[in-house]
Amino acid sequence: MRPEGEGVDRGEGTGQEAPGPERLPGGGGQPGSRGVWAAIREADRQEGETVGPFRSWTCLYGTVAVHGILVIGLLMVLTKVLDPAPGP
Amino acid sequence: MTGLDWGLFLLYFVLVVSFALYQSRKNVGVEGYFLGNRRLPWWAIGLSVMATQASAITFIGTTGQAFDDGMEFIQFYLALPFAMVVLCIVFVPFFYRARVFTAYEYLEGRFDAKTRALAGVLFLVSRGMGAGVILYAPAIVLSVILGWDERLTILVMALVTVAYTMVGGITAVIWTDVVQMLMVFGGIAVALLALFANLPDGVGVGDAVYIGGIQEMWRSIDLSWDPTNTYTLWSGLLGGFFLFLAYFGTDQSQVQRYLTATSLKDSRLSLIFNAFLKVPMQILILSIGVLLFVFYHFERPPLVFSPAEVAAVESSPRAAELRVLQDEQERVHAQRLVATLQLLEERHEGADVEGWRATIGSHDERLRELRSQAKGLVADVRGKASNDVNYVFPTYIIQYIPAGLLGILIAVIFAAAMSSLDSEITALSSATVMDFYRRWVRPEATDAHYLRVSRLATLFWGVFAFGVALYAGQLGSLIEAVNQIGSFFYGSLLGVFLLAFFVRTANGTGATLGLLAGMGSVFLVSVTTEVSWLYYNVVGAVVVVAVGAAVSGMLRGREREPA
Repeated sequence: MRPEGEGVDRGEGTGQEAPGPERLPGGGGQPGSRGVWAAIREADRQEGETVGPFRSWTCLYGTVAVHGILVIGLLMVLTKVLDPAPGP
Repeated sequence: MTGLDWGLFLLYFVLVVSFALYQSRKNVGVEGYFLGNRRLPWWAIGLSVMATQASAITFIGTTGQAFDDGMEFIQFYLALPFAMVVLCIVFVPFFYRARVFTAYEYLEGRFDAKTRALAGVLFLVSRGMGAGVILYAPAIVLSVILGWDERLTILVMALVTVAYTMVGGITAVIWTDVVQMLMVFGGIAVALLALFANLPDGVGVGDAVYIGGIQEMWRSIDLSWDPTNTYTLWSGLLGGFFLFLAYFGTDQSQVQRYLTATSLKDSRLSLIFNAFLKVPMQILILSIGVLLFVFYHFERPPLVFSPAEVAAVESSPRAAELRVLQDEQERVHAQRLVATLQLLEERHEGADVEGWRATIGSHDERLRELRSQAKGLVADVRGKASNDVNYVFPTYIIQYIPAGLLGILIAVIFAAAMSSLDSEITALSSATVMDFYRRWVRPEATDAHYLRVSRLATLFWGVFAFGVALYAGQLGSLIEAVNQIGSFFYGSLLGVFLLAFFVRTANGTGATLGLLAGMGSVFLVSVTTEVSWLYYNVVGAVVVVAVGAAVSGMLRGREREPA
């Protein structure tokens, strides 16, 4: 395995990977590991600041979430508009 | 089908296979075979992720479901964008940076070999049978529609799919998925345009939408809190959220896709692509079903769409009952047609149409009852539930789509089936070779050896899926049992990964016991309550995390105790 950024080939693809927690970046629970959120922050930092037209990943994720909420809202509105209850 | 349709249909097979093999020419070694040497573009992976999830039954089954029940099925997908965000933030960085071949390989590094093996076995058993169902379900529909022998349809799909998957590996799979997904988009557009074009003169798009609304067919959101109902907003948001986390985050058939990206950024973008496109696509597919419902206000639909089911009843002692139902359906349909045309005429004149709405509504209700009775009759005669819902859309395209377009739409249905099957067998092959063969049998072989074994494993799973599909009709209860086991382990497997990511003190024994406890809890919930299966994933994940964390904590405490 080759932990990203270290450039160390530890036998990838040959079945000779060294076992052990160090193989997995940010592996969460191992003694001395950096923990999940630290690993994620580092991953984001390595990926750079902008994502296409978006200023950051947070901005892109926010847009996705807003998209999801808008779709639900739109469907609720369409339900009301397209399926009008019959009159009295 | 005309000669033109057959020509287009055959052209599709030749082009797809050629394109796939051309794209996979640069693959090197086993990493090239399973991960495309991690050089595939995000948009292609994104389309492949969509194609993997959307099987032929998604295309023909959901349109039929919308024909019967309207748009409510869309609620199942509403959590998908939110799940994608969580996957991008949490799951993808872990898998991508660990440089693993399979999702389960990560578990060995994080926990131990037994957790990896258990997760791998669960995947192989469930998905191996699932691959057979993916092949079988559309094949029975297509064979009826095309007039082919069921085994021939299964053979054609399996042969073509296994051939290009075996030779080209994941690269061939992803690029064929791209073509197949674009064909599905094209097929949706063709179907919608054809439906509008086939409406009678003087009936516009607005009229069609209005008629759909009379029976509340556009109703997409159900705000009720009933946990036994799968199709409510809350079931979709909560149960669906966990289901999509489990499916996209722990199922090798999806994880393998985004591991093929050039960078972590591209892996994430492939999922974000889905977050934006998947729900609108499903809305369009379901809209086809609702518009079919409207279309059949103007043309008399079959009471039962499946020719095989009709034939079964007609050759039984209860044939007369079906004829009585069909006669009444013809009469009520004629009355509804008159009422519908009258309503539209008066609506165009600006008159009050409430009376006609009520009349059409009552006719709709009666036709629904008749269809339900006919399906009940089919179930009684055949001794198993009717799957007529899968024949609604194919029947329409066979009867009303013009030559040329028909060949393309049939190819689209084949494309949807093959794009799911290829992903399954390549994922099964990667888990077999990487999680078992290379891990336990031959850990020190050459890359060329693993490549050969990988191709053989692909062939094996293709043949296995073919075998399951051939006997799927007889294996009904077994397949159902396997699918049930699948729903038991999906959420539980998600729990193991959540434990790995978030609980620092978790260990292998805790994870394994947690996984078993999670599956046991889901089993208990399924047999003792009426809760919708969508919530099983929530139960499984929560129990695994709770039990896994507790067991790990206890073991850790014991280790620290002085001797």
